[in-house]
Amino acid sequence: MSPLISFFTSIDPRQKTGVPLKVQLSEIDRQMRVPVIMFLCFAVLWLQIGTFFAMVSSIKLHNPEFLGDLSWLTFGRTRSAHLNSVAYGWANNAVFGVGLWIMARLCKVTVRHAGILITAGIFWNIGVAAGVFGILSGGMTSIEWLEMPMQVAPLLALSYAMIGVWGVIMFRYRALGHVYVSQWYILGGLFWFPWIYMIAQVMILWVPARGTVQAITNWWFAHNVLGLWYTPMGLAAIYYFLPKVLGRPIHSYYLSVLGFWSLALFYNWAGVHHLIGGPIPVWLISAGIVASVMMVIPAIVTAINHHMTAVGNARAVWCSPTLRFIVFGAMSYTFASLFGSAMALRDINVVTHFSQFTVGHAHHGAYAFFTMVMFGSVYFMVPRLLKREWPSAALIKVHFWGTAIGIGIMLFALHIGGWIQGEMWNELKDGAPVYSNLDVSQALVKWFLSRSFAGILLTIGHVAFLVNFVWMLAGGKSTRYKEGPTLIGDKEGSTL
Amino acid sequence: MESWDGYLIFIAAMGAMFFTSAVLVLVWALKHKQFSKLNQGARVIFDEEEPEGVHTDYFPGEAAKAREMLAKEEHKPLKHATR
Amino acid sequence: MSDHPNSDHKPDRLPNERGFDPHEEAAYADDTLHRVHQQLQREKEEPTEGFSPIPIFLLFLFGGLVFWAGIYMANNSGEFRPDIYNPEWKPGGGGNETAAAWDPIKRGDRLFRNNCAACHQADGNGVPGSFPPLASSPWVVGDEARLVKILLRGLQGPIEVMGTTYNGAMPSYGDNSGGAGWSDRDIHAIATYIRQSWGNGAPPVSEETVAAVRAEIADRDKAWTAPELLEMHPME
Ligand code: HEC
Repeated sequence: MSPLISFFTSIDPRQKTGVPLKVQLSEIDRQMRVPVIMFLCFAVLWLQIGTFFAMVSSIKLHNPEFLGDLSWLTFGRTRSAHLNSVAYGWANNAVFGVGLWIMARLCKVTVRHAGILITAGIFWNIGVAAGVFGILSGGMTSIEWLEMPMQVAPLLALSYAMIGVWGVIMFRYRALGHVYVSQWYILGGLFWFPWIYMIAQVMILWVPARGTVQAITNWWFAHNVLGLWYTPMGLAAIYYFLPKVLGRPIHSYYLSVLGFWSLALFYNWAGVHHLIGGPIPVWLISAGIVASVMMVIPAIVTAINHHMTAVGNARAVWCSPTLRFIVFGAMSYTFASLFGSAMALRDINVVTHFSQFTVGHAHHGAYAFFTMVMFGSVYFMVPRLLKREWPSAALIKVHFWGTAIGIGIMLFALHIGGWIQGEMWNELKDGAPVYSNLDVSQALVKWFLSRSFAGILLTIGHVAFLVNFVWMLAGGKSTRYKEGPTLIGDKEGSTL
Repeated sequence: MESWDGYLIFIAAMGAMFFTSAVLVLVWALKHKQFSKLNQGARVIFDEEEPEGVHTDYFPGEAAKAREMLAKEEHKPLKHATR
Repeated sequence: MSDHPNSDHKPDRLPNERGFDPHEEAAYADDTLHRVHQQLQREKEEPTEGFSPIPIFLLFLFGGLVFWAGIYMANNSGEFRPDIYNPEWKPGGGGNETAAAWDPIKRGDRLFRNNCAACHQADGNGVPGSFPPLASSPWVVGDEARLVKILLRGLQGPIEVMGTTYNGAMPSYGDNSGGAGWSDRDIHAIATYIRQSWGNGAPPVSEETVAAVRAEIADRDKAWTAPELLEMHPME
């Protein structure tokens, strides 16, 4: 056999037949261990870096002189460094780890050439690091969500391809005929992300389209990266972990399938609502508004489903670290989606556009929903991958309360403050604005301060998470592992 | 104006491809009976190790306590158990 | 699914079957197993609905949404024309009117809000200690060439405005290095605007004046200083 062909046959990740299911499952966890743990390590690391830049940016908004003399840490750069390290660093690594692991479990197959996956993962992170460095050193582009210097894009795209392809290969060779709704979401996300990323890179940076087409592409990308990449991955995790941990199937599987398809078919129109009022053909904007409002459908469907699955199990949710985070995230998903649909309406958008309300909304989706769900997933996965229990329940609780209260305060501050900001901007007397920019900024200071306070709570949570995670990797109190059916038996007794 | 139209057509083509691919997958799913027997489909997440009806996640060190507490609640009928 | 317990037998895992992993025994202590079993049995007693249809209220909601979407698109599509940006546009009305007449005050108002108001404030009173006022400032309502020179090259160093000394830097809107490169028309608009707002009542500055001043200072690149300007154009 030629080496090429033997390579292609060697990627077939199916388990050998005749092996008992239990052994197959532990084999899957064993083979996914190194790559998944690697992605999670990177994710946790980027989370801390992103948090640092977030805090610096946040403080600068009420104390502009803070670190004001360092060009590397001026607001414009730290803000974008924050966005890119949490988006491409934390969120993407988390998605790679969580998404591929769920995929492997549901397909009952595994990744054969973990070495390629690991190498690609390392290169992805080198790319992100280079990109963030480029932003800090002043080489950033002016395109929101694509601030990294364009030279890192090919590296990111290539490493992504080598990562995402394993998800597709596993799907291709899945052991069961039925495709579970989480698999749909992950598979969709794996295709959508490279699609939107490449089109946006090419049409905005490499072969720039003319005029407002750039803006349209920009917001098509920036909105879809949330809605067709992070959201499906977050929902996939909820649909997997919620019923799994509770030990009961999802309330109405039918509704969940409906939710997926309405997202898949219509979501990608929604992004244009970011350009309401802009000089682009009005029908396009109206179509974006309609699509955004239609997203009420998947939101409600998902909300009903999650609620009906969890209802009556409040205590079980409370007793599980995974579900505390996941249910928090699932509830945030509903509210963030409904808010988002409302914000797309012209009458509301006229107030919220450009204001901190939008920033609040972004954190509603990306943090209160997506990030919390990923935290929950990590709490479920790592014990099973390392065959060890989390070293400290107290740290998990600090993490939960710090992040839950922190994001709660932050969302409150930004939504209220942002609304006030928008109303002040719009206040007219005889056709002229009533408030000067200075008045508006002064009115916002207290809300910015609340945001920084919330940021401190989030940081506490993240540090607790980091400590617990490192401790866990280092061995922790592995005796704890006796308790609770949280671990998968390992026939070979092998550890990392 | 001309170049504008060119880009719009490109975007429209991209959008159309996006949509068609989704529809094609939907058709595939229908053909492969993905939408029948949904009640069983919902259960594929359970396996021998973590079967239906068992809670599988507790705070480290608090599992015994939690299980005891939950067992007490189990005596109340579950309102929304579904099949 | 094969692992779904659908007959009466117990869950097919007993504590002693898990010999390879004694740590987990506690997890499957008898009471747990009993509970699991109970739960499975109880669930079975419930009526099996089979295929659960969409709740009826959802159908209404979705129908309503689709209906709304249709109406909304019909009313806000600008006939799907690529050159209509305003949702309020109606066929035959608005859009086709002749271009609005040039109004330096209107244009100046816009330029002022977007460029100058950040420093000199919307009410033209500046910020005490940092940005000098434009309202009733002799630099604004006085010699027009002096004002245009400030706008075309910027200003730096100490300057006295209405009894107070300021020492900052005023950016350039002309075509020197670092300047914003505004046209004669826009300089004419902004100068006219600030000379006629907030109670200022000076005559307009014409486009031709701006062009003449621009030509006159073409060789100069640096920002002005106040004494320099006063030497050329003494305060009235
Ligand atoms: C970055 C802040 C800034 C902006 C923007 C700015 N200025 Fe100024 N302006 C100043 C400062 C500072 C001075 C005083 C300069 C000095 O101290 O030498 C000044 C001085 C002036 C003066 C002379 C002093 C006075 O108060 O009459 C005029 C006239 C003036 N600016 C007009 C304008 C106009 C018109 C615009 C907009 C096109 C504008 N400025 C934009 C900061 C600014």
